Amino acid sequence: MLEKSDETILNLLLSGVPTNTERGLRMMMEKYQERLYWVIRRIVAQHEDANDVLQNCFIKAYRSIHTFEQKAKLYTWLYRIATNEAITHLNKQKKTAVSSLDDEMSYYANRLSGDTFFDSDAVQQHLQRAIEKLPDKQKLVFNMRYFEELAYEEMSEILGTSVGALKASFHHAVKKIEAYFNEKEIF
Amino acid sequence: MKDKNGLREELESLSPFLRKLKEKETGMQAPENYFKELPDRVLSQIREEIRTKAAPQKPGTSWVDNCIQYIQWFLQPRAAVAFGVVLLGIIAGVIFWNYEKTTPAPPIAAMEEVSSEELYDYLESNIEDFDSELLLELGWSEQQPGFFNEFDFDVNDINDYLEENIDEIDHRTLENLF
Repeated sequence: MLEKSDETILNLLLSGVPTNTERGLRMMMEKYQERLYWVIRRIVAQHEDANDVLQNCFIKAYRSIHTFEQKAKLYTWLYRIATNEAITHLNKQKKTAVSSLDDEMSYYANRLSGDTFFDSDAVQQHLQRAIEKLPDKQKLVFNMRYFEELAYEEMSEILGTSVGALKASFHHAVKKIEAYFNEKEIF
Repeated sequence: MKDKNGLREELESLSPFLRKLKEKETGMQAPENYFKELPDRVLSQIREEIRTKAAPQKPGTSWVDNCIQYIQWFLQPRAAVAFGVVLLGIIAGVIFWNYEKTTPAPPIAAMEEVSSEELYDYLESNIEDFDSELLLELGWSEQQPGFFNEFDFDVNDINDYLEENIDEIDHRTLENLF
């Protein structure tokens, strides 16, 4: 079911008139850019990566807007593009940067310490590192639930996974993060 | 749709530590004015993409166009000179080959087919037609095999001939002979 403003955005985007298409795209970006940015940023960690992924996400959405079936929310569709792009970006980076387990540990540590737009206390830094080490699917589920506070039903719609599987995934992610903090003796 | 309460309850039972941590800032920030400038940046990328796609493409060429292009290429001075030189070479080659085919074999080679007896008879019956100097040049010397050596001239015949024609042979020729 589309919201009123989403309907306007889509009508403009699909109008075929260049000025209207541009207006629709601008409206869509202004409405969703911040939410999508944080979704992406929590996956890729660094601002520069998040910026690249977010721009790609909007360009992809613009190119394939005619494939959007208006049964789902526009945000749900954009969210799926954003998370796919972020995970693809992350995997590409991992392939080039990580060749051993030691490399992987230092890779995660460097990702956050090298980001000028990450300024937090030690506990928050550890939380981000613990999240970074989660498998991609668990990381996505944890971010959606923990930071975006999405209901399982909405997550299920976005990810195409059952509510039960999502709950189990979130549970595992929380336990792994706790284990990380236990190991570092930060409590 | 946010599920703040549901999450708080869930975290309380799963991990009280993470529930407490959730209330703090994450520490992640976005640069100043980032969200204000982003739409313009994305739109300019898309405009550039559209401009690149809309740029006139080189039209597809038909075989007629290709022929015209070839002719034009041949008419360029450098290509025309090169083509002319090659053509002249070919013509010269053909002419030389035909000349070789039509030119008769040299006289000596042609005479190989004539028997010694025939030649001897011919010379004897037409001896007046030959210049005596030429006859001597061709084969008189015994040490040097020459044209006449092949015909088994009898020395007596030659001596008879010389005696008969002694008046016609000049002094210098006689000196050369002896």
